[in-house]
Amino acid sequence: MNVRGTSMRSKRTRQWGGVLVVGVVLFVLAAFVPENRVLLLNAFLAYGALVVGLDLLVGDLRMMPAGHAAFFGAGGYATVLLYQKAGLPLPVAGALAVLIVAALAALIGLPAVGRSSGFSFAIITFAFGELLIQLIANVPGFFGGSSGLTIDWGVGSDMPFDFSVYRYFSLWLVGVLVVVMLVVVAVRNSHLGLRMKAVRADENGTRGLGFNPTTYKAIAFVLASMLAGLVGVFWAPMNGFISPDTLGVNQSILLLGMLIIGGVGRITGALVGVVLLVTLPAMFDVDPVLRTVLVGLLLAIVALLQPAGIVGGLAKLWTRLRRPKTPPPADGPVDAALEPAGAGR
Amino acid sequence: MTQAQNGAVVSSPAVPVDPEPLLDVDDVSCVLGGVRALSEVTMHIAPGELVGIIGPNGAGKTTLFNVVTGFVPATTGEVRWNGVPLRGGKAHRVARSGLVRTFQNVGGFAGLTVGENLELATRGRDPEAIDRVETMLHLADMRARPVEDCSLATRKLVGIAMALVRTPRLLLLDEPLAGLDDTDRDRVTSLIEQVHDSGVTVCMVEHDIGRTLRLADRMVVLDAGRLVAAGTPAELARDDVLARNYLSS
Amino acid sequence: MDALVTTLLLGIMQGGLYTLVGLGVTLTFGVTHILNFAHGEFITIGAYAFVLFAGALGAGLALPLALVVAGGVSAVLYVVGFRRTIGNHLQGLAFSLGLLLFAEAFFVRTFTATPRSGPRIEGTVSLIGQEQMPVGRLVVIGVTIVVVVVTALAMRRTWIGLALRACGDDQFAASTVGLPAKRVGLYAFVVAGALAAVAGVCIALVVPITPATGLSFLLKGFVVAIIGGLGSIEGTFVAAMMLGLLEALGTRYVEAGLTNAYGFILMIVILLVAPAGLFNRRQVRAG
Repeated sequence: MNVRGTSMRSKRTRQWGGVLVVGVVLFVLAAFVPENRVLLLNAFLAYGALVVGLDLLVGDLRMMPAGHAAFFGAGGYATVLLYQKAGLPLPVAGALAVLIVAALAALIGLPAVGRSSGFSFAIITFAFGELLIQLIANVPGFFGGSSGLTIDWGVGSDMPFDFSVYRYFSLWLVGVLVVVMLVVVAVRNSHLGLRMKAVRADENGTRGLGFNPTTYKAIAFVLASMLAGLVGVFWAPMNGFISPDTLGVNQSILLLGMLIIGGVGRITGALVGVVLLVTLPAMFDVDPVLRTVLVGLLLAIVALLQPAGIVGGLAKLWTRLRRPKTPPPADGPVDAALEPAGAGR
Repeated sequence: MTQAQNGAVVSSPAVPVDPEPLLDVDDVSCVLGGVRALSEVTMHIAPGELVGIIGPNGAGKTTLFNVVTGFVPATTGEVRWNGVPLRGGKAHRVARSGLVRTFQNVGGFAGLTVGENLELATRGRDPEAIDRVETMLHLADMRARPVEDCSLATRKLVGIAMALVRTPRLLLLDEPLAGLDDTDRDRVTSLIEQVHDSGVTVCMVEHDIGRTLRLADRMVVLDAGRLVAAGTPAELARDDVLARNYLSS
Repeated sequence: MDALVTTLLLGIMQGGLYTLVGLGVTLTFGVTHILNFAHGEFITIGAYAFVLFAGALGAGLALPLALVVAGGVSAVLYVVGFRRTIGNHLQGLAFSLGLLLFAEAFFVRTFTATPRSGPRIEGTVSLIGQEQMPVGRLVVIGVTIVVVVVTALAMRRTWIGLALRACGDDQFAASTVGLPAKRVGLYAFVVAGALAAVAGVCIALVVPITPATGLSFLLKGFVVAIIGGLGSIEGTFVAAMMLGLLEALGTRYVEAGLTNAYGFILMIVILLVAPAGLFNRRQVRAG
């Protein structure tokens, strides 16, 4: 496109390059990290993929789902059920699971995404997660009830390269995170991304240009939910176990917390949030309930004081320090999805 | 000569100039939140015209645009675009059919550069149109600048440019001059003239009555939701009551 | 037939509790346009405060104390946080989600997840036939009816009620007569907190409470507020009664495991048919 300047193009190259570098580093890490750290890495990879995908909604469209984890859980449950109960091979089960998640998201999303203020969207996604939990708890024969479902890989199971189950899926999860990052970068650099930005800035204005904002919100919602489902597809077999706890509203808010605390609108923000709120607490053995208390408190504080998040806040500081003479630039909505929409109405 | 609502005498008010108008507004009323924003408005726009719509605040000018472009449904009456009824038409569909509007206070989407805004407007399909319009409006060197960093005049131009790159068949301009100083007003006025000369049918709502009278082939006067008068600028100016009430700014 | 009466009474009780919760949601939303996901925690606060104070000071003192604690916490949260988020609904949403996460985990850490029982009102009343109804439930029905009626009257007759209605209707007009939305928002949060606490106390009277009690009722509060049309008091009441009866009848006669699904399905259907809810006059502002 000749319309965009060269600075745009170099930014784009930097983004693609960044994804590539992160992918290679993680891949090497997954292959060589000590066995007792593999689970820690897997948690980072899975949460990273979930949060980066969630940013398509929060950062790019100012939509805040209170049930993102439900789609992760749905992907995991569907995979395990199709594999264990229907006897399908794992890859087929996984692919079907992603399609099931897409269908669920379309079903839930259609009545929810249309309204501009996003309240119905937050409530309906919230209700959906709670409904899934009810369903699982009340049909224990099929869904395993509140105690969850297990995949028994057996002792000394035969994964390629003599890897443990955990390390084997670690490599797959690196792939998932890379795919999610690629999708997000591709969307942000495409005409679809441009339309999404416009919808975020001014819905009525996009109607005037001949775009239906509901379409783009629905596309983003289904896409982000599918990405969450994809993470579930690999997480459940890796973990060997999935329970309703993984898809409740607390889990969903944790995801939002990581994203908003880290910084919406950029992949680094999402990943920093995950390192800060998943990896570090796990390394220092912080009690999970205490961690949840802290994440909740931090989320409330960051939302109030620095809606651009840690990375967004640092980026602002950096531009201010680098150009001390010029007045600080107006906060672009890219930095802060939580800040008021741009000028207009 | 017919007698209009408030007693003003008007010549050839709502009679279509062309046997096949581009846009027919037929007896349209619109009630918004209990307020009758438009009442029984009938007007037509023929291909090639430049129609100016004037009237005091709250006259229903923007509501008329909103009804015509499908943002707000007409309560009664019918809007025909190209002979096809638009009632209940969705705004984004209307916009895709060549009926293009600008908004009162928006020129481009915040967070996007000028170039990105134009690319957005063409739906990514017409780079030549972008080049052509950028040259015409002298926006080429603004391309990489975020619109929120642009002056109001430039943002207005961006808004018009976004309409133009879509090769409109009918261009609806909502107060294109509002908020601009005299120099910029002249600039935008001559631009509108240029666009009209290039064959685009234009309909503009404007408070700057002097410039609108100079630009327009035909004027429509709205007041309190009613069409008070319609005719050429010369015809309106001949009517003392009209001239005193609506044409002096 | 006998079972039907019991079922209907149960439905009315649930509907009354949902009204209390939904009223708080809709009141705060109407005035401040904040959707408070932490609203359910006021229920939990009210319930725990009631149970703890009742153990120490007796139920008579515990009731007003529970209201004061929940209303006070609500006021503090509004002044410190929510007030700054007015006008930016995503920020308010994020703030309230953070509070929800914090509060629930905090309650689990402080009180553990083990259910706790409050004071019980002993005895049952025989209805027609063999059906028995615990007195506690009838008391809850009575309390909710009284509180809802008093709230409805207060909304019409008192100055605060007028202020709340005026701001919910047209903030600009209200501000011109000396009712700044931010100030009235404080009243809305205090009233909402107190109503939630009443619900919490009622819940503690009939079932054991856990840190998750508030959240489960919050979902119902949202559902009725949305169905009733966010901002509408009458709508909330009608929707809450509909939901309570639907759940009670569905649980008794259709499938008990799906109790929580009924409201959700009802909400989706109503949102598809009447996107602004049943009683919303301001279509443009609808959720």
